[in-house]
Amino acid sequence: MENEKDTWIEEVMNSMHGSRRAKPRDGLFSDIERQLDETIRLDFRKRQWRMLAAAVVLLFVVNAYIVFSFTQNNSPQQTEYAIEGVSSQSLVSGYNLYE
Amino acid sequence: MNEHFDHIQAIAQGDRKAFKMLYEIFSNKVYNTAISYVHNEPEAEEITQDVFTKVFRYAAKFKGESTVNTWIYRITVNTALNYLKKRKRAAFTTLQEQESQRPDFEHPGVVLENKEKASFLFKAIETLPESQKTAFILAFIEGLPRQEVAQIMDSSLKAIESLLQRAKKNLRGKLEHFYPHQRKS
Repeated sequence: MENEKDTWIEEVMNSMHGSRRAKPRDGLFSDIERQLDETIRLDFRKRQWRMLAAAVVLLFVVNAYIVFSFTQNNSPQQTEYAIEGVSSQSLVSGYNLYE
Repeated sequence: MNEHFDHIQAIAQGDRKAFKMLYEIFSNKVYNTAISYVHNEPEAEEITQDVFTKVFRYAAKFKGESTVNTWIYRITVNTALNYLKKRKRAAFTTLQEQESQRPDFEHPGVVLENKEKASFLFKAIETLPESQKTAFILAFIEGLPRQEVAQIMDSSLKAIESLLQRAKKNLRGKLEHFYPHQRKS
């Protein structure tokens, strides 16, 4: 009984002897090519979205810089000097001292 | 010289002809390995598709540090193991039928008189831990030399021999439990 069991176990352990490799069906390569094309298309789409996002961020940064620079150039201190400058100008031109 | 390295370099340039040639050389190896893990044709096909997609996408990154054969087998083993993990997670979350309730697997390449015994072998292989399963499939189902199995598993020859010893011991232990069922039928 024990011998029969051991023999059976050894036969099972050796059951793959003489077997051939399993082969995939003929159309599988076409499916792989289709999957590949789909993957490449999706990769391209992702790259496009990333470029778009980068462009939007760049645009935002540039605009923010322009707005910031503008507000700096037109601050109250600078405006005060500008007004003073205009006032003295009109005073001088108003007098026409050497005519 | 690294065999098939020129194919990989051509594939890295997008050469579909070279890709087809590589497929023709390796598809049986990849598919046979995959089916030995998942025990059904549809999933083995999915794994084969994933493997070759990865080969195409990552061909440019292959530097020839291993052979192309080793590289492709490594991708196949990792993809198959990930597939099994995903399947296990899905079964756990959806309360699908347990592995033991799935129909017995008949390997398409087995000779007719060995089909029934081979199905017991694959049932027992399913119960092995990952590393023993991989070593056994590569050495005894794929018939690869031990040294090549060691390269694929990034291990030493001694470690592989030890894994195979333990795998065979565990398989025999499992088959002892199957034997009474065999006798009852």
